[in-house]
Amino acid sequence: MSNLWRGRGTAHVLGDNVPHDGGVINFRFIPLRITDPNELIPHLFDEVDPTLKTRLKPGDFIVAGDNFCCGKAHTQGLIALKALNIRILCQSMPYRSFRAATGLALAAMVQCDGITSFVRDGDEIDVDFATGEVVRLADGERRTYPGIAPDIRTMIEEGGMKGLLAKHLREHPELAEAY
Amino acid sequence: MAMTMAEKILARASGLASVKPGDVITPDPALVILHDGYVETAHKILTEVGYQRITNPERVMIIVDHQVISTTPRAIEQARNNRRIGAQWQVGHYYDAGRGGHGHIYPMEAGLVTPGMFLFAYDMHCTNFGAIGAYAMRAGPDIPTVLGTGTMWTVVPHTLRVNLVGKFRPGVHARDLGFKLSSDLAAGVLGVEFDYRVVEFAGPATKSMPLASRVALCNTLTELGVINTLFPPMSPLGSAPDANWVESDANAHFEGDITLDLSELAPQVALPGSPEKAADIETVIGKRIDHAYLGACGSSMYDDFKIAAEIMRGQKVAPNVRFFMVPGTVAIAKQLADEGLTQQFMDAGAIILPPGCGPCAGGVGGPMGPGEVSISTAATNGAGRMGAKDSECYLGSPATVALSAITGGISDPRQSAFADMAV
Repeated sequence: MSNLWRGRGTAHVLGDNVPHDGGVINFRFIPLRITDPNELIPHLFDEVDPTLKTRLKPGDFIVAGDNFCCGKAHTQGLIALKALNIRILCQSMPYRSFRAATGLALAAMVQCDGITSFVRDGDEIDVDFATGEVVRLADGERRTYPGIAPDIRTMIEEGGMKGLLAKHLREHPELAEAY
Repeated sequence: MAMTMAEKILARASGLASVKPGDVITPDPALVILHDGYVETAHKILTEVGYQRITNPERVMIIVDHQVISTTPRAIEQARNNRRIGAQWQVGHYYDAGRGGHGHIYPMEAGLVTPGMFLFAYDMHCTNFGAIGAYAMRAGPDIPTVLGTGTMWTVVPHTLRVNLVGKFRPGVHARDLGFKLSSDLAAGVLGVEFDYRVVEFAGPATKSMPLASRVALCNTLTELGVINTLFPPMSPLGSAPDANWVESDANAHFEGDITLDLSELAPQVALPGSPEKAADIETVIGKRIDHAYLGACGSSMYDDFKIAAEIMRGQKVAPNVRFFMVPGTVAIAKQLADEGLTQQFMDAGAIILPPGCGPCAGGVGGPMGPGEVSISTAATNGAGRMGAKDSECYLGSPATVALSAITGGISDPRQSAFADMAV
């Protein structure tokens, strides 16, 4: 099981207070309520760093400072990150956004005090989201932060909101029948 | 075990004797509310998983307040789809455009949300219901979980108590307090946490605060990231207290406990960006505006328009200003008409829009153009919220907005001839 919670990739380091709307994803997708990741991915971080999306690879990590994904707790940017299998490490994140990420089965380690000093933009890192250990591969330096709580890991393993809904439907098959 | 008001309501809804902050519960809601903007998305998610029905549909309310006049072909299609989905799910309460009003106001007015009730709602500004002592939990993108399963996992939050003492000085309004408190919480100067906290208002000043002011205060704090706001219970319909009305125990544990003296407060504006960017109104007086707007979920009750009517009596909206007024509900719009306020506003040159969110819902009615400046009672004021992305949205109290609309620039209600009125 540890493999699911462990990964290696490139860290893309952002500052503090990166909002969801107009930060993680271009604001114009919000009122349009577009949720197709293929439309959203080309516009990740447009307003923060227009070149960042060209460096993002599946399995990479967004490393952010305080209050990542602040502002309105919309989800389109998180949907795009999830589709790319990009996970989040940040110093803090508003509860509403953390909850939205969990609902999308997107892993976020949100109490990583000082991580934007430890990890530099472009570093290759190894992360264990269960134990909270982050290793800088270039020099082997490591730090341990609070990992993702077991209950939250279970929800993510079961597929977030859709997984929970599917489980409920198996237990209540009458909900699959039209009136 | 001593509990706060929030803990009591959450415990009862979860069938538990007591709860404490950090507990994970699955409360049973008396009502589930979603607005017209998210029905299709929720339906798509549920259909993809295989749901043809929802759990407890009789408790579900769909209420149209965002796209009231269907301003685009897509909006017309959405309205049609919403009606079809409501019928498929057999929801218990469907309030179409023109039938109820704003989803954060109408349910209180109609007695569908009552003191002590626990409910889920899609939209974060359901915190409005805390004004009567009801606990509405914002489900946001988890609303399909609530519709499908009847509940969702919920973490019991900590409560911050804010004791209100003293009286507002003339020209100062609960919305000014909301901006100032948001700003101080965000800046950390009060030494308390706010993310995912319940803010419970207590103290002598809550007793005399009318419902519209309570709503304005609950509403203004919401965007900051507090999970809820609560006042001691009251009934807008004048109903007698019953067993559902709950208040915090005297020895309940509050994570933070602060006292604010209302008499020390000056009128505020929220600078463009977000409601917590509060500034004393002196810093922006005279800023020329193109657009003004009184309404939205926090300031669209009868009392809010009464304040505007006092200020606007015998006056005209400034030639450089489009002034939109949006009553919260059909009943409020009718009351304004019955009492001659609608006539007065129209004589002044204001534009009355149908009940609902008004321009705050993404500028779908009465939007702003590039480079324009607005002052309004909107719920929030991020870039592009009411139209062009480079327009500037200031927020103020109903008094500040009405006075600014007739002077043509941001104006201090303490400086007006109406400063001694009670707001």
